[in-house]
Amino acid sequence: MNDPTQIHANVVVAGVGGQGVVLAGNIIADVCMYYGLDVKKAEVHGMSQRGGAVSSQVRFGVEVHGGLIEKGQLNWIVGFEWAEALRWMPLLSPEGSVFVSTEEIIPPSALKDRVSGMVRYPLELLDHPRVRAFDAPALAKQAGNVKAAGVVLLGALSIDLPFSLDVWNQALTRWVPTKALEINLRAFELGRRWEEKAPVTKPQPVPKPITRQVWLNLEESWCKGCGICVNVCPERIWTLNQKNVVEALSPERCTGCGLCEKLCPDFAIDVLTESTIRVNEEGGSVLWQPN
Amino acid sequence: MNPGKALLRQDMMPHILCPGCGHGIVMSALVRVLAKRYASLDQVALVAGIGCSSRVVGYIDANTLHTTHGRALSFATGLKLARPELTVIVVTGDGDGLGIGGNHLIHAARRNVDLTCILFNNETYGMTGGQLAPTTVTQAFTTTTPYGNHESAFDATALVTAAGATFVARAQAYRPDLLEGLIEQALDHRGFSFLDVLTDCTEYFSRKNQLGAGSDLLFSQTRSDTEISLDLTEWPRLQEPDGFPVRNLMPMGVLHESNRPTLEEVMELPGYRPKEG
Amino acid sequence: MATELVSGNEACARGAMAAGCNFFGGYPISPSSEVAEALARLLPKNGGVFLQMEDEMGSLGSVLGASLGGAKAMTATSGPGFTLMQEHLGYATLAEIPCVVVDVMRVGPSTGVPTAPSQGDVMQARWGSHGDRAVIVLAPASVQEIYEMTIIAFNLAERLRTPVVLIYDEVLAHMRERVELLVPHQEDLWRRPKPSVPPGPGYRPYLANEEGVAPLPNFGDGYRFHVTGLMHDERGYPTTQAKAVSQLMSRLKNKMEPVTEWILPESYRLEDADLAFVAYGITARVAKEAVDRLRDAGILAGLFRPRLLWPVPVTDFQKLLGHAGIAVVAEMNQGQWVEVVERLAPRSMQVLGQGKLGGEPMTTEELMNVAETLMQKGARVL
Ligand code: SF4
Ligand code: SF4
Ligand code: SF4
Repeated sequence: MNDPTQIHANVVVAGVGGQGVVLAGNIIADVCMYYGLDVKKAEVHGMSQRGGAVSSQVRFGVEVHGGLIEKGQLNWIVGFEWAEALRWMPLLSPEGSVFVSTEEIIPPSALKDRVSGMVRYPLELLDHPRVRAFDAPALAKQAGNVKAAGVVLLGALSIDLPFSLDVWNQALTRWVPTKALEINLRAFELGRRWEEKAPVTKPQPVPKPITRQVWLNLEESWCKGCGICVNVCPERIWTLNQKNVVEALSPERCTGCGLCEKLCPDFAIDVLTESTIRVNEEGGSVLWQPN
Repeated sequence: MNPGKALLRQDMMPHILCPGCGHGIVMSALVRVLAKRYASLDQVALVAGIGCSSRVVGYIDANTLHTTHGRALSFATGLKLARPELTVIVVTGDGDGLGIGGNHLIHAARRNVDLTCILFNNETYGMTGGQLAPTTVTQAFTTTTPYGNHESAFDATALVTAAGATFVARAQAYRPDLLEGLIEQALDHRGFSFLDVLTDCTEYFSRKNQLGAGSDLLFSQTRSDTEISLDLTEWPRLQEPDGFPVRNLMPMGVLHESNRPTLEEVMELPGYRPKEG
Repeated sequence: MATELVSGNEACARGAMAAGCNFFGGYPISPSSEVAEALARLLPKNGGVFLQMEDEMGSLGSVLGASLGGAKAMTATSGPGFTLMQEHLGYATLAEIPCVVVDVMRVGPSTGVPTAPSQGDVMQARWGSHGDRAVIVLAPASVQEIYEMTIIAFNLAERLRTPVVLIYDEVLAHMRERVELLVPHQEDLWRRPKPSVPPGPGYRPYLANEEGVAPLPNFGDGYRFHVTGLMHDERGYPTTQAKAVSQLMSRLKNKMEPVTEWILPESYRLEDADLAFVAYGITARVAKEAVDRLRDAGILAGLFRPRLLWPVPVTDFQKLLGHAGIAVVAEMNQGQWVEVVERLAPRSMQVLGQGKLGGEPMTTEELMNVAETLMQKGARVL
């Protein structure tokens, strides 16, 4: 793990549109390439112009085949946004770790539910032993611009990786606009020292979420694996498995917004709420059902 | 749960459309509306022409008629006048309805028979392999325009408005709620109602024009309202502000509405019950 | 019963009304327009729908749509329009939609001579649509017969669930004759068979009865079925399976076969004929006169007049004129039905095609000359 030319690992950068997720992925990939590693990068950008979820999966090693990270194979999650990071938890390897900003950004499509109090912002994993949460925007502000929060997190990640600071700085120089370079280099540096410096804000305990009764039903044999639901779901619930059929990763997050059902061209997904559940009495397999 | 799912001919599903084909989304919205409005589809007829879009009707357990290329509206006109009590919905594509069937479209609009025509507009001939359609914008690549399209595209809504349609609207697959609402309004309308639905051919049009697959293509419909352009004369160069392509869109919603007697009313057909309004 | 002096086209429209036609979708074209004009007057007064469509594809399309709604529907056209209707004729055959199509033949190809008669659409009526299909084509020879055959055409269309084509030429279309406008009894008017099972899972829209015809409910009757121009199975669902496709195609052909027993040809003085004219439509009337005059001149002539051009009345042909030494096939074209005769004729029979082009009808003299020349060349003279 310590030889930068022999390392084999998977990183996910997760956030929402406008945070620079894709850029961060590019920087990581650039650094890996410097060491002659094979890099595969897969991006998912949903309604990113509208603050929708964006992620960048970076796989690197001496030789990498598939572009997508499988369950238990994810070594690092870099969460620019807390909820976005959480979506990737099911993929995290037992030794993997999470660098995450405690910043909350609510995707507009889920806004209705969150604002009404039907669904609360999920903070339950804050105490997870592998989660290292800190207020990245505050550090970025300290560096000169709150927008450099992502680079703060990259800095934190860099501590875990065997790549030299020089190479990181080179990559930053290549990708970040000259105007903002100085601030970004400073933010990166602050990120590297986050453990000593970062003012970790422990969020207030929240009242027990009012869960809504939502069931997700999948007609597997009708799914053609187009990936539309994967990308439209504001909660990032769906993922494509090896059979190129979708699978619910974290159905408990479903807000019942119905986007996936309405945009699935193949009638494969049913989002069942209490009002519609009776219709489906004999229906197929219920994937998930809250408490 | 889409209540329209119960209206599908289960033994024919899954349908033949390609993964991610926008037509499936429009179909989903259509059956949702049908389920909402009609307790039974006994009195609903769906008439289609030829093409990927037209295949959709076969999966819906109504009176379904999959006709010849471009001629769905003529079958529908005959059916509606013979059985004025039926609700007749025509499903057509841009090639079917505006290319080979363009003449029937303008005349159906002119006659003002109480029909609803839903045109699935994906700017290409999907079923035959992604060739130039009358709605393909200038410069776009198709299998028959390897150097880019030299011609200009039709604006179907302007065409049928000029021809006398009494309800004209545009929707897109990407906004299912808007789409559903407009299908409902079109069905409510008394007279010839026309809906131009922007959808996507993932298999051919998107590949030829590097618009991405599945969801990326769908998202390329998501340009914000301020950037909507009426300009159909030039291919909106694929822009990538956020790392994926964006296309210009045309105005959405109800574009024209007017009121004049339907042909059924003028002919005084006994079975015809004009809708309110 | 009323006796009136009416034109062929008018008789066609009156026949349609008598048959219970309640939908006409058409497009103007000479020399068939009077059929549409007459029905435009008659239909609305009698609870029917008359519709002028934007073109001939649309005309037959509207007819097929109306027919599925339960209407007795027809259209009328002429050569070029008939060409445009071929796709829908094929569709109607495969989807089994009853309808009547009248083709008033004029000189072609192309725009040709729009107002002059011809019999040039005989093969188009048979093979005009792509693919392999069985057809029913009726050829009346008088205004009276146009009236009657229009009714028969509706009966065949309804009973067998198929398009039926009625072809006659411009001369018949515009000729006025004394016609007995017999009103058929209601029970003599066929309606398409209706399913015996109620709507529901037990109903198979394309499951044939003992006549090889699938019962056809109307759209809106509660049987929600699928109609397609794709090859389909008994459920009406598209199929590409070779077995299902060939079964369907055979059934569509076989169900037409009994028509040759229902629509018999006219045989005139054939019993002892040495020379038989084979002619249909207006030409047959000229040939009939030629037969009489030839007989007066001592030549044993006769006439075989098919009233059904397709399917070919094979048995009748062999039975009625198998013994004649010479067959002269007289038609106003460059030789179309003569090919059928050549195929059916016994080896001993000499077959000669006598065509007539240019838009002028065949004359008795022409046919007599041909006959006399042939007989002088060696056939037995009385
Ligand atoms: S309804 Fe579908 S899109 Fe909405 S949150 Fe649930 S899984 Fe995601
Ligand atoms: S949108 Fe539908 S077809 Fe596409 S991947 Fe999701 S479930 Fe499958
Ligand atoms: S070819 Fe294009 S339009 Fe046709 S089903 Fe496939 S994606 Fe849809």
